[in-house]
Amino acid sequence: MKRVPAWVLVLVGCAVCVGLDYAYSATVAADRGMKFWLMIAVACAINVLSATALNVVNGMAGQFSIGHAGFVGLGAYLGGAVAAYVAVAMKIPLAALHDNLSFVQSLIIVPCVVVPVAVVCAAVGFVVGLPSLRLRGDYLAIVTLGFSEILRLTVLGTVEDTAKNPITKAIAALGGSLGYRGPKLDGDFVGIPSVAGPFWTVGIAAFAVFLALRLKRSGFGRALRAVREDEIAASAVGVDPARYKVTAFVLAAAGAGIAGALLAIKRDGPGIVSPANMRFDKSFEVITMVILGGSGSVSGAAIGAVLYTAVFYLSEEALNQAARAGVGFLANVDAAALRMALFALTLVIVMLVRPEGLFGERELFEKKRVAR
Amino acid sequence: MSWLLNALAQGSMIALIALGYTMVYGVLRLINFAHSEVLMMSGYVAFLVDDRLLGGYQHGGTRGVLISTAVAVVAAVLLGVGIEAFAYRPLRARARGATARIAPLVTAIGVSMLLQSVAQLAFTATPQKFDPRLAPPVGYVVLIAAVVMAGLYALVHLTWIGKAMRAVSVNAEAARLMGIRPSRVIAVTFAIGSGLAAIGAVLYSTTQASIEPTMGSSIGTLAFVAAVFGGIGSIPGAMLGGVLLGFLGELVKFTSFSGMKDAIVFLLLVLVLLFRPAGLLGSARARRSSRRAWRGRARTFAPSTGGIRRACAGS
Repeated sequence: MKRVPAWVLVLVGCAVCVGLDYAYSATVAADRGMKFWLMIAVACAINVLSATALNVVNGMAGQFSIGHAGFVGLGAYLGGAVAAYVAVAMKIPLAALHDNLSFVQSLIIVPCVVVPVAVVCAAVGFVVGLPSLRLRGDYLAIVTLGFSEILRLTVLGTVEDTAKNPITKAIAALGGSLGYRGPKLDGDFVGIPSVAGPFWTVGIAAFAVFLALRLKRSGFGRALRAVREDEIAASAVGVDPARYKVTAFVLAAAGAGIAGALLAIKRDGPGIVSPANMRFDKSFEVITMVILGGSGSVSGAAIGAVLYTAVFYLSEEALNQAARAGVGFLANVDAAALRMALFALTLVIVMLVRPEGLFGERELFEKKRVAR
Repeated sequence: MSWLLNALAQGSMIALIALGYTMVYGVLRLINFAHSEVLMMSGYVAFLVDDRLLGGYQHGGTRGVLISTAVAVVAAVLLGVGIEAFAYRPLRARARGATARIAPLVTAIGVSMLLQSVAQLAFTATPQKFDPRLAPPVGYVVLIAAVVMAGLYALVHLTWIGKAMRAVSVNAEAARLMGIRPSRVIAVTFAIGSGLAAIGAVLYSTTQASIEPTMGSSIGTLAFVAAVFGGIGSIPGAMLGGVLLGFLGELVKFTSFSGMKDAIVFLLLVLVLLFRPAGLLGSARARRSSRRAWRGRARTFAPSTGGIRRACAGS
């Protein structure tokens, strides 16, 4: 079979994503009820991106990061702010900003958001990755957790009336626990524009998965695996562990940042960025996706993300339906807590029964390697 | 003067909880994330027993608090040992290779999230409060903590089981060859740590914090930082770290950063891990290995890898 040239693939991919974008709008216009399913699909795509990014550092490089939500939150705040300012600079009227923006407008705004977010998050990822040169395992995990908690607590703890110098004033503008709703225009919050349609969310997620697959099969991926298995042996054959570990952190941070930005500016999005995005629960969710799917397996992590997200939303809907249908005791159940308990239990059981996850390190259509 | 006493009381409560982290890390080289949830659960048990069964301040009084503390300690011990038996022990038997390093950590986080959500399901997210009149005077808090910690010190240094704990923490494999059963020692360690956490939880929730499902992550984190600060794995280190953190918390109140207290605690944690991973009183062995790691980047080993593998082999 002749190999299809790369540019054809890229063009076809773009065309499919543009089609998805218009299909989304058309479906929502035709039937409001479909919106629920489409929202799940978009959430799946964003979570696939997030899980793929975490998989690079947790699965491939074997460093354990539990501060992923910190990068996601950083990307969300940064992306939301950039999107809002760009939209204001484009002189889009305030009334239009509270609704979904058009696809053509997204072609300008989203690249303006994604590129700086990726660059800044990569830089921060570099700094957070540096401790991996000194620390391993649980100690490193704690440093990453510390990073995300410092971000969250700084946003939470800095409010308008305690802000004195310019830096704390800037942080206080992020709204503390109320969440960030963009800059103020004529005394009214602009809100985070809902701009990124499926073209961007699904497109970027698909591109990230493709990139991760290529990465895994490249020399870089093999070097990462070597570092994960044995650092001394890896450095003995000329693989510099420091370089590879930090690069893994940088890649993961950039991916997570983009996922966060998309979360903030997605179509029919929340219009607000809340510090709850950076809570430890969120990191835990992504870890669960990666571990369930199989850390080190790109398709495994992606499938884990889709499974998790689908179960996440469907279970909530099912509980609501049941409560409405009159199953009495379900009405008083805290759905979020029940879901979290079930996921945590699943994770613990997976760790005990099959610690390598659904796929282990294999990919979806890969044959099992015969042990020699 | 009352400021000093307050800081000391704060610190000694943190230290009580930090001891659980440090002891488990000492024998197992595992950060027991579920410890903070044991703390939270025992807080609930104490509150429910005191409030629902013994009638709170009106009927139970101080005696009620004492009884409910005893019940909470028993519950915490059962919970801690149960977690060890059902979640960590099977893992030690089978995890190997690259998963051996990460599996215990993931499991610990999973158990912690599980307990937190179960608490939210069972007790709802509404914070509960002890009657403020039940709060022991500040001096008593310090006294109780001091007595308990002195008892722990005696236990670790004067008794057979204490010697076994120290032996396992130095080298589980060698301890096993000397006729010590690491799995039994580990269970005892979990029991003691959880019991101390229960006492800390009662002191904490009677004097200041309300009891809620997320109290574990806020107070537990503080305690964890104290344990790392003092040198995780070292019992006097945890005590010192707790007291220092108590003073730090009280000092921050005087500055304009009082809203950022928790962020500062985390910043301290990151700095300590980066520049002195072995903490203030960490063992000389850990210190040496960390210094070596700094010089030769390729040989980066925190003191975690060998220990858990040895502990795995030992049980």
